Amino acid sequence: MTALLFALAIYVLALGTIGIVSNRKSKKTSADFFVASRGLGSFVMLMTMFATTMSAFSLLGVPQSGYLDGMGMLAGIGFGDAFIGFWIFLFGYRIWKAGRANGFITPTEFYRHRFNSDFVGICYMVNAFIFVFPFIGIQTIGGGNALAVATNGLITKEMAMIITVAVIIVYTILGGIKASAWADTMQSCIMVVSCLVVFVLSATYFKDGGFASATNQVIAAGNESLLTLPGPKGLWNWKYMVSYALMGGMSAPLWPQVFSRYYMNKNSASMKKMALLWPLMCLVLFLPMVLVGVWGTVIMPGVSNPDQILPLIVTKLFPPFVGAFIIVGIFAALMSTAASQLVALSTMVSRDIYLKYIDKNADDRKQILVGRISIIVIGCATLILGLKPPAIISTMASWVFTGNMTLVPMTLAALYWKGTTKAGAIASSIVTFVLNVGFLSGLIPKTLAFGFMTWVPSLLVGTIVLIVVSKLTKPLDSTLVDTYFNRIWKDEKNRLALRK
Amino acid sequence: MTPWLIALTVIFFIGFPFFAWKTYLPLVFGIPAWVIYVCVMFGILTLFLYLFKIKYWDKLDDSVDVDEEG
Repeated sequence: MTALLFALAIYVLALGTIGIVSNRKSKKTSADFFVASRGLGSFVMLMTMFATTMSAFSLLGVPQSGYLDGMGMLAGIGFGDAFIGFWIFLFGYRIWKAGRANGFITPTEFYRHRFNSDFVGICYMVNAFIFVFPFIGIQTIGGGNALAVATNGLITKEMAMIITVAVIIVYTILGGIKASAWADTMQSCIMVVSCLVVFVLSATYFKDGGFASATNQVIAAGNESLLTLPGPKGLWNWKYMVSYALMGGMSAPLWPQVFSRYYMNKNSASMKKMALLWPLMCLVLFLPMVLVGVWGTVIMPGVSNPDQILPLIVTKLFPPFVGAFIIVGIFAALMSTAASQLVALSTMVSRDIYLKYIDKNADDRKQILVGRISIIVIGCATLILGLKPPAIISTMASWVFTGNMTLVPMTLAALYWKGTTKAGAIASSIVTFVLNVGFLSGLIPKTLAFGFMTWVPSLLVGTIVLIVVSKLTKPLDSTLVDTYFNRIWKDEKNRLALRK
Repeated sequence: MTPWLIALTVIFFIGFPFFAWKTYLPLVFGIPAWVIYVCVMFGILTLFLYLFKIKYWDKLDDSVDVDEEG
């Protein structure tokens, strides 16, 4: 217990130090506070993207999935997430160029400008707030539960949640996105090391030690279905697996906290290195976590709260100082995601609401002040949500991936189709959103998804609507379209031709 | 796109069910063979991204004309 409290104290102190240092190094401009002056290099970019994308789900939800449904998670969301490396090129590269050319800071600014429509920007904002806000609440609840389990209730769930949110608020207020990115770098390192340590030490629990012994005992216990597909309950059938993998890869790159990170790349080289190393980072995280979940069925069979299987294994098996490090790793996973989401939402409040609709002449100082106030307000609101969670919060948080798929047709069209119109983008996002919520809430029967995840039919219909409406409605101003396709993006090919 | 990379991807989709469904055997260091297969695919994806980078992405002009009014 002492070791855990000591490790947590060091971790919190480190985050506070990062906040103070990044505050001192700040250039006091909105671009610096919200997008780190577009100057992050490849290592920090990789680490901050990784920590932001891999939430508490990766260290709590993935072992839970291994415990309940077997190894399918690795091929499903694990391999799907690995494709984010490719989506970084497909989405991120052009968004980075557009952001640099036009000085965008929030995702909303890109959509608003690309479609010359405030309403398209509002569609993005509404979608982001509806799905991301409850997700922050869930992260704090996850942290509270994990710490309460790890300390045998010495620190209550509520106290742990308050500490979590308070720490996040303090370091993000001090240093903005730069503090968040540097903290993410440290947190990613802790997460990766934690995963590997858990993987190796869990195997030593078994008689004769080693991975083979661990897996053989899972088979001897009659749980061999955990090692096969589609798993003991048939969850990981091919339709579910393919749709889950595609969703994992396509949805996360459009979260507001990930989208705004595209703007932060110092140059294209940092983006390329990030994309290249991404699949291997996913493998290092997902393989150990899924296997530990499977082995957990022998180490601790029949637990009532399988989402806590990792903290339970850690407290049962590991020496105190190692266990303390792993618990810190779990905190790193959830705090990094929650902090990034908090900064992303507060940036949108400052830029997309305050600057756009309340004070068009707000200078950098005012924008940062509004951003800081928003961090406090949104942080406290998510804490209240976590402390007294309405029944719908966990449901809505589980919708975050599916809900974000709403943005895929509109974004792909914005980046790659000259013929997209304002009306097409609006119609597509509304139709996809309504269908997604209809399926998720049960208003539309899931049988209409024909065994795939419900985003599949929603996305298909949304894409058709986008194409049909765009063909039937007034095209966008040709100067605007030229700006993107002939200057910012298409320029690439023109310049190549000139070089030759 | 390099054709053999596409072929690798197709082989993965064809080969995956043969390895994956209904069996965990053979075990390799305690890890089911199909899981090893998926792990290899992570590596192939990395290789795919590397070749994509040097054959296409690196050849794009990365300079950006900053909009002064932006």
